[in-house]
Amino acid sequence: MKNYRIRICPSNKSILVQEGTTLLEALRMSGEKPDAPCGGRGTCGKCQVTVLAEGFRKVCRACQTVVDQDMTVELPEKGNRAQILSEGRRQKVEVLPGLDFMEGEQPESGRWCLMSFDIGTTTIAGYLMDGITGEELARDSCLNSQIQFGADVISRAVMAVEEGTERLTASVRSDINGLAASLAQKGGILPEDVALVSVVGNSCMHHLFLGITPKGLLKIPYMPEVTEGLRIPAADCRIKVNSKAELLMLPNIAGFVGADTAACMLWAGFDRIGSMTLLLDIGTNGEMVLGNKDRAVSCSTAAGPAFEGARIECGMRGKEGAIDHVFMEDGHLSYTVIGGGRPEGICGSGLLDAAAFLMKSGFLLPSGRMQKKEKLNTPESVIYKDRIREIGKRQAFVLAEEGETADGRPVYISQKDIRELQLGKGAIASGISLLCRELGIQVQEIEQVMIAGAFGNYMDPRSACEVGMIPSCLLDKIISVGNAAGEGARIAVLNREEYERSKRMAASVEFLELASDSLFQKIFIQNLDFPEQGGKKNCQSF
Amino acid sequence: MDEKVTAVFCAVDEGDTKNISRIVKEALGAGYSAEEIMNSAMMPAMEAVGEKFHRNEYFVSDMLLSAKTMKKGIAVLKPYLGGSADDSPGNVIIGTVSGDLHDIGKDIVAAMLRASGFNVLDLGVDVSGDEFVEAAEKNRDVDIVAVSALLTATLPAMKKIVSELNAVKERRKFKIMVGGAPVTEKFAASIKADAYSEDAPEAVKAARRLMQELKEERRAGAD
Repeated sequence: MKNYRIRICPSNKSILVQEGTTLLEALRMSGEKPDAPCGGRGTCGKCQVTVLAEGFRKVCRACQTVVDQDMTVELPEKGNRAQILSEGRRQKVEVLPGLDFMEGEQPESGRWCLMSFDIGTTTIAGYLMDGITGEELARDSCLNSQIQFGADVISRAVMAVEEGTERLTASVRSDINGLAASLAQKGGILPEDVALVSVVGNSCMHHLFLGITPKGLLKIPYMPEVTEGLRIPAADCRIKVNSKAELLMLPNIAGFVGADTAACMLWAGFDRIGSMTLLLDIGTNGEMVLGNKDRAVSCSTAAGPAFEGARIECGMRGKEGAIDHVFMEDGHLSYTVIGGGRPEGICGSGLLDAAAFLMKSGFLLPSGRMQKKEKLNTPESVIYKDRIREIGKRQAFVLAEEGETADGRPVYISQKDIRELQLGKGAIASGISLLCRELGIQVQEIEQVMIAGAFGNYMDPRSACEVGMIPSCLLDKIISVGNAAGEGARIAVLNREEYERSKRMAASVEFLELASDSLFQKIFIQNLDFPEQGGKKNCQSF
Repeated sequence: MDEKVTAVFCAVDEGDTKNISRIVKEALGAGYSAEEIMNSAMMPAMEAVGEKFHRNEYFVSDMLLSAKTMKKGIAVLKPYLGGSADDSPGNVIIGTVSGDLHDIGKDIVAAMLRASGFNVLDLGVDVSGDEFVEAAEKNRDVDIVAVSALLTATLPAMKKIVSELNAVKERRKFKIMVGGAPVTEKFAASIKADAYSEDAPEAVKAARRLMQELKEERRAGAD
């Protein structure tokens, strides 16, 4: 079996790989963390690189390119400073972590510290607190390196079942240890001063962190292997804090609705809320809980990948260069770009705004089909009719022309992008409908809508209602609660009784499995469409 | 082509479920044969709809409407279509695997196959291996069994069902094709299905290819 040398630019790394290895694998082996939202299936196009070899230079997808000679691979320039969400709304909590197990040990810096981690499918957030005062000493976040194995929980779960959890588990633990070291440094303490760590994440992230194969999540009735809260030595998970430190895993609820949702509910104090509350955590997955202290039901929907920029032609994550908002200002179509520079692409919140604009101004029919140029007849659509082009074989609306963008290529929304958005928003809308039906309430009876999670924080609630993702009668009841899961993890580590409370809450939440619901399909199809102007349609209930 | 036949094409293309029956009857009444209407209107319309779907101009709801329209239109034509087995491109049994309640994709595939002239027996959703096998045994002239799954969770059921069908195949000649969102070419090959298709328009193409293979195999067998 022949070996070939792969040289990587700009890092100048060099590795030898066996003939037949894909370039994507080679990049992973070299320690680069290539983007592969589709997990290497060849369907998303996001792993594009430039290959130089004897006799040619071409752009190709790393996952589909097989090494059969020495090659140099040029990776695209990365601005990896993503807008990662760390801020959540602060709750006051008595600091009683219960550290008697540390008896006999002495912290180097004078007092014990606590850490909490929220392992999102795409991003991981970490917090460091003083163990006596509860004061936050540092916060940090990083991209979940498991992305190189696939953007979504299903592809990672499938990988774990097919080849074992080793690589996935090692990846997330390495990210956590990296964050732990950075938090310690920022907080002016040593990692050995950390006595207690709490961890939350959806069921799949939870299992992979612990090294548990999530096979239950891939088959009916979609039960996690572990639901109860766990208290184990941090060393069991190779987490580099004090050698005697303990780890608190918050409980999972059911299906993919996991410890992160339990943490959100803890932060919100769901078991004491009287008002009918919808808690929506829109990240890569969309988990939701509807109810109050008397009864609560949860479900999970596929919210991503459109909201994360994947499968969108000019899509990208929420980082520098991404158009994150689109709006009309003084009669002009305008947009903002993360980082303030020229746009390179569009992220989830931008896509949502763009769809809302296109819908309101008559560019889109309620079915989501782009109106033919000749048939445009509203004032706004006539002004911007020259933005409609045929790109590839599809209709598209150009948001930023060649001259305005960072790389000279236009940033546009295609007909296909609209369809991807419809699928995502239709799923969320359907989840909300079915939870209402399960609780026997009308949508209008919901008194507050708490939006948590990465995308949820950046999206414009008006756009969400205008496209029909959230019923428009709820617009004024929407509050953004930031990273409630991270905050819940923080509360659980600060106060042992709060951790116990999260276990009781998780055990009492009911779960609705949408895949087995015979009504889901019908409701989903209905919710794909955009609401008629005014959005009155989607406040009708059963 | 007379406007009466074009009207059938347009009705299918636009998903006009309300008027399709009347429009087909009018074309028959104007003297066009069922075969002409199939070949000049129904099939081209199905192709056009498939093409628009690939361009994302048509989406799920559009496909469902066109599928419903095709189904209604074929029902009107059926009694007038030629009876001999040679006339129909083939006989297909279709169903969604056990544990899976999704029928949208399957229904669209069934409708497009019918619009292409295939006879389709639809077993519905949540169909067990036993039910698939029984249907294949009972319908002696089945050419293709089409198996659909929409959940990653029901892929193991698809694997089991295809292996049970392959056991029946040892005694009888038919082909197995698979499809559905979590299904991939690789998976289809690993479970020994004869064909995989990514969406409904592709399924029609795959079915035609399989029929071609079958014809050649049968001819070779007869020699």
